Order: sequence, then C-alpha cells, then structure tokens
Amino acid sequence: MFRPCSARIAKSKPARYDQSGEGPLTPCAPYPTEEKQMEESILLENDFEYAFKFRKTEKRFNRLWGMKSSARESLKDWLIASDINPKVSEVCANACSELIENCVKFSKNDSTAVVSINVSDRSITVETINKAEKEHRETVSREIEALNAASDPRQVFAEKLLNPVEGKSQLGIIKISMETKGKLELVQEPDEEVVRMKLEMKAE
Amino acid sequence: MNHSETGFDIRLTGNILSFSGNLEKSDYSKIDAFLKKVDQTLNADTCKINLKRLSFLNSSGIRSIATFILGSSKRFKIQINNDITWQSESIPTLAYLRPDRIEIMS
Repeated sequence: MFRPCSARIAKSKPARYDQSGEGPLTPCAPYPTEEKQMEESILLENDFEYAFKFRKTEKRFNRLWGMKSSARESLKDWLIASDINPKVSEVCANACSELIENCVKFSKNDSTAVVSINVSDRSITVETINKAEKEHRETVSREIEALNAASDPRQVFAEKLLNPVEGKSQLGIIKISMETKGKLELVQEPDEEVVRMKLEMKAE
Repeated sequence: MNHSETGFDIRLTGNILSFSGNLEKSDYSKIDAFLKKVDQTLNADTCKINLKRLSFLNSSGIRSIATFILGSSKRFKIQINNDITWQSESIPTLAYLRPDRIEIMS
C-alpha cells in the first residue's frame, strides 16, 4: 500500500511560469476519490503545497509590496499547521518573503510572477518565477556563484556590507542562505529574462 | 525622538535606539535620514541598539542599519533576541566588520 518516498517526491511538480497569467499555477491532478484519500491519508499527512501568482503593474506596486507580510504570516501559519517546526516555519516564511520582494521589485511591469512552496518528505522547496531585465538575472547569477564559491556565506555578507551599491541592498540572497542553511539555485531557462529561483531547505 | 510608520517604530530614548514591529520598506531614504539625525543628535560615545522587539527586518533594512553603524564614529552595543533567527544569524556579522566598536548582546 505504501509507495516509496521517491514516488512522493516525483509527484511534486514545480510551479510553471505562465506569462499569459491565464493558466494554472501547477499542473492539476484530479481530486482524489474518498477511497483514494483514505488510502493516501498517512502518506500525505505532512505534504503541503502553497502557490500563488500575481501580475505586477506600476500602479499595484505598493499594494503588492504590502501583501508580502500577509503572505509571510500566512505561509508560516500554514507550515506550522502542516506539522513543520515553528522555528523552521518562520525561517522559511522569512526567506520566501525576500524572494517575493525580489519578484515585486524586479518583475517587469505587466508580467506575471509565480510563487510556490512545496513540503515533501523532509524538505521544503520554495520556487519563484518572474520576468525581469536580463541584467537582474545576471546579477542574481553572480551573487549565487559568489555564495557557492565562499566557504562561509558570512564572508560574502560582510563583503557586501563593506561595498554598498547605491540604491541596492544586494543582501537578500545571502541573508536567505545564512538563515535557512539551504541551497539556492538559479534554474536555467531558455528565455534570458525569466528568473527562476529555487530554494531547498530542510523541513526539520 | 522617534520615527514611526504603519507597522514599525524607531525610538531614541537617552542613548538607546529601539526598533519594534516589522520593518520591510522598499525605500529606506526616510529611515536613513532619521538615523543620520540620530547620529548627529546623540552626544554619548556609545549607542545601544535594541532589536529585541523587531519581528522582521528585510535585507534592505539590514543595509540601512549597517550603513548607519559603519558610517558613525560611535561604539555600538546591539541587543538581539536569539529566538528570532534572522537576528541571531544575520546581525552578528556586523560585529565581524568592526569588532572594536560593535558588540552583540543577547
């Protein structure tokens, strides 16, 4: 009756970037029948998926920025309700908040950003997909490379603090790495303007 | 002397600068200006920064506080809440930059 864990992980599908804004966030599976639900109740008790998308426009900027804190608090509560340790839930929600912030700040006007959070087995995956200027994607790529090359993210954090760039924080990605101890990745996409960030962190 | 907006408050009482609430602005120019004024107004050699009641600070906020601290000639004692992960993980890095002038207290 029990499927191996790998099957459960394979079931989790990443958020799909949908520039039209019309399609679903993730591929939808048919709603399970009652019998199927009972059969899977133990397998699924810790699984969780939370996803949303929004269209960024100049006019909406302040309202979208304000939604960040609502999304953070809501996500933290959902994770706790899904039996994730409150401390881990807080760390994940804060990291997600930084990633949403980047989507609101750097997404091109009139483009759609997608945010998804999956809990599967013992890990949490946060994925954001948005369309931004090519230069932004290159900056993110350089920041992740510097982070991966450093033996301690605090070194990179300290360097960034000492060498500020006017009008830019440049600390978000490093802050996420330091606080979550997770793995950050810029997933390659054929479209040079699509920024697909993936954070994987332990759920316990 | 204080700077208050929806969701957060920054208050200077004596030589203690206390932050509370959630500080996650997109533009920190007003906060930067307030902190600069604090630095100019405060006569004491040491400034205590109390972050214990600050629930959330975004990365731009860390940059703003770091700019204030690194740009000042004062000594700083930063009180953090170790139960809040962003405080225990991110803020102590500031002390690595100026170990002679920045002290982290929990």
